Amino acid sequence: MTKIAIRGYTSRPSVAPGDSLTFHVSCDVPGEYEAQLIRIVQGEPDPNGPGVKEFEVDAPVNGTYQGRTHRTQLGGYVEVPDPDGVLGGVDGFSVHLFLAATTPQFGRQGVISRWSEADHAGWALTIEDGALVFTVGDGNGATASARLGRRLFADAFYSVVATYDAAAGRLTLEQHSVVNSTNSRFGKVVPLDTDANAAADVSFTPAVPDVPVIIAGLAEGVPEGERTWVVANLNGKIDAPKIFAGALTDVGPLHRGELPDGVPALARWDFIAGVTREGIASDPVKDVGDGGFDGVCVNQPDRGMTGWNWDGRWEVFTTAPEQYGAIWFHADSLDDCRWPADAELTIPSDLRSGCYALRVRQGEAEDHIPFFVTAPRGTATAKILFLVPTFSYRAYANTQVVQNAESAQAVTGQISVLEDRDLEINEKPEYGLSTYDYHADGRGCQYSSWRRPILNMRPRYRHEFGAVWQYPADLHFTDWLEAQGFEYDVATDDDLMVEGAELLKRYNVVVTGTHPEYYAREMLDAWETYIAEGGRAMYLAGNGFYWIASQDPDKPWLIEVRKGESGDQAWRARPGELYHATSGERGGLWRMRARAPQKVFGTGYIAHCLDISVGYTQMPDAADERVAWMFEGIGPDETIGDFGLIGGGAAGLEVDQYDLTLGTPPNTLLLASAFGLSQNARLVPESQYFAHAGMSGEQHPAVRGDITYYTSGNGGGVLATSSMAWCGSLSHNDYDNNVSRFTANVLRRFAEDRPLEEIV
Amino acid sequence: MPLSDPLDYRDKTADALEVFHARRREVVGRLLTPEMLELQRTMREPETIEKYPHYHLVMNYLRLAPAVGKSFVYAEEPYRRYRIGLITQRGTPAEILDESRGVFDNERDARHAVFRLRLEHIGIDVPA
Repeated sequence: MTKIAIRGYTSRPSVAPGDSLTFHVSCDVPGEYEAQLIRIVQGEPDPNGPGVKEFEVDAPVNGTYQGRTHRTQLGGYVEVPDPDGVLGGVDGFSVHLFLAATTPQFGRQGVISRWSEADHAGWALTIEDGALVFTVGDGNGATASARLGRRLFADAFYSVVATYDAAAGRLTLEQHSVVNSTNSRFGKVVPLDTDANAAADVSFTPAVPDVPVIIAGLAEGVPEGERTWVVANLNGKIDAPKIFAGALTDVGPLHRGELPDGVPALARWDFIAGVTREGIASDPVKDVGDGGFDGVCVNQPDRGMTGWNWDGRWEVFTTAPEQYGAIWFHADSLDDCRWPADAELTIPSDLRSGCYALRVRQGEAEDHIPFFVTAPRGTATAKILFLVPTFSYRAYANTQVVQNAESAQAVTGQISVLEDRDLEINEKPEYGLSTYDYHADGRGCQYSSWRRPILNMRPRYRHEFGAVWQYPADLHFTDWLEAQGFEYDVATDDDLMVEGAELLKRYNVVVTGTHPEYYAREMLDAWETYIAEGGRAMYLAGNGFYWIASQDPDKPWLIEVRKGESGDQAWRARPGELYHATSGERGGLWRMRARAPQKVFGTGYIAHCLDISVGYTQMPDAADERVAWMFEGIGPDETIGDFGLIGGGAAGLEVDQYDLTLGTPPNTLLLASAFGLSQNARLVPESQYFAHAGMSGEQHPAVRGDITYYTSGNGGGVLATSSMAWCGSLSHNDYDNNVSRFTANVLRRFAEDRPLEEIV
Repeated sequence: MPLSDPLDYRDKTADALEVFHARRREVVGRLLTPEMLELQRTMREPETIEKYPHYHLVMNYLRLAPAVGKSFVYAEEPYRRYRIGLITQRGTPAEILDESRGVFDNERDARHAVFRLRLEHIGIDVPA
């Protein structure tokens, strides 16, 4: 098997002339590698298509670099600096927290520690063999541990107290179940007998290693340089951790969530402190006591999570923060590889807007590291803008669905074909997860980062779902633009977040990618403003504007997605956990927030159909004289797009439907509909009410893709082709076909300065 | 008697699944014919279903097999050379079967070989 031996990422998705970005590369074998800037036009090597088209570009970044092997820290945790050793506890201390371990059987996991694993120095509360253990060590081989005789039930909340009495030379450890009707996997009817305590003698003075306090892991050792590496990462929730001076004897108040009278806390972390209506910052952790031991989250653990005292009455962390004191840590989360930069590129002023990559080669190993170059800031160099859906690229980044979800092939309707990149992603957890994957403890992954190698966002890659998907699929469109001689700029979702409608307004027409599924409110607002004020949109896609996404305001390379309560969903947020931590907004489907895609784009997602694609039958509105210009060169009886690289048709993978009840503008023309999808094509869950038989492409009338057109005010309008496969048909027959012709007719007209004729 | 150790309790879904799979495998074995095998190799699924309306009962059962151990088409050189692989636990290398289990120059033949292998894996005699 060919291994992936070199890979990298950029600091940001898009840059304008004059901007800089950095490249971060890791090689399995240290040594020289060659870097070359590439302009990418077409990324699919399918021999039935036009083939890969990429061009070398002169740039100062081209050259030879010394490749290094970089380590990636996985797993979420909180790091609290304690340079003076105040929390070292040599004079005695107590630590309390609420804990719901989600994989207590997964081996040794750190819960809270001030401990160097390399030399067994300091103190640590851990889970071992499914049970809690409290350990101190002197760093010279002496350790003592209090070990509970009752294992933790998974996903059940416990109150945990550990103490060290220096004068008595004694450790104690106690766990007490605090399961209520809603805070744990099961409720109060289960007669648990897992409360337990243990003690151990200590005949030495514990060491105070030069490490920070780590919540949800253990410091690997005393850091060399600035970085503390963390091991034994926890899967589970921790709520309200706190440290007191001295060994507490009356721990009853702690089990009730109260503070003991007259015992000041050395540190008392409130994970929901700082919450506003706009959410809670991802990284800061506040010490609400007097000690000033503020911490920082690493690798984006889940915030805004239901806590030990959540009673199910309130579902929003911003309105009942006192019940949302938990952080859910996962041993496989990742927010940034944090590799040092190998190279930096300042975009030359004359570099045309488009899709680029840094090609890195070391021997036989090769990677393309994509990024996008916009027009110079505040300007447009063409009438046409191609808006690259970088939020959706992130949502799908490094998906491992086929190799982990048994239902994946029932969804795709085909036996899966996987390649080396798929196998590499699943084998090596340091690539991180997508919003389609589950953490090892069963929680859906709700954050996705740009700052890691995204192996499935590469030219020459065909997605595990059986077709080109997202980035390489969108390159079908750029290839067609170039082949047809259209001049265009590109910009990304990330640019849209910064510039809003002003970005779109510089262009006469804006074209989507093939699958702009994940959208932030700010981006939807921009589109709606643009179109209402006379802008023109070509939605050459399927399943767009579907899931709610938020961008982390402090870490813009990161997006948040929480799936549920309905939708074509890879996972479902648990009760009370649907609201985004990074924005405070409700997650899930835009449809459930009164912004169904139909309201702006005319159509919205209705069915997945990943096995075969079909063509469109023209509807009566296609004969309307007011749209005759769209059908120039196309006969009235022609099926549109009964050919193509994706499933053999232009309507496939995921398709959208015209629906007045969901907000399709009343003046919309229904130009064509694609029927004949297969038994594997299925109506999306949110359009099913009773789950009756007959929801397939063979039987259900809504399982179809619709081509629609409407005009907005001020000379604007929207064309929707409603299929992810549309652009896969553009190059058929050397670009001479009715999908290409129809697309060109519309794009040419939309790009003109004169307003569209109003259709009402 | 109270519950004191989570290890005392196993997930009895496995018992129900054992019965379920025995029933479904009996159905799959009964529906499978040499003609269906050949159609799977040569035709697109909608056309196959038109000839064998219960074809999807066979295919859906095979597609819904547990992920770990499931066979897949390994694109050793996409569009040129394919082999058969088995999915393994996340965090471990996938298992690529020996070339004696098949090397293919197109996806269709490779998918057909995986189809036959999945039938073998559930104990169904596959006609040559």
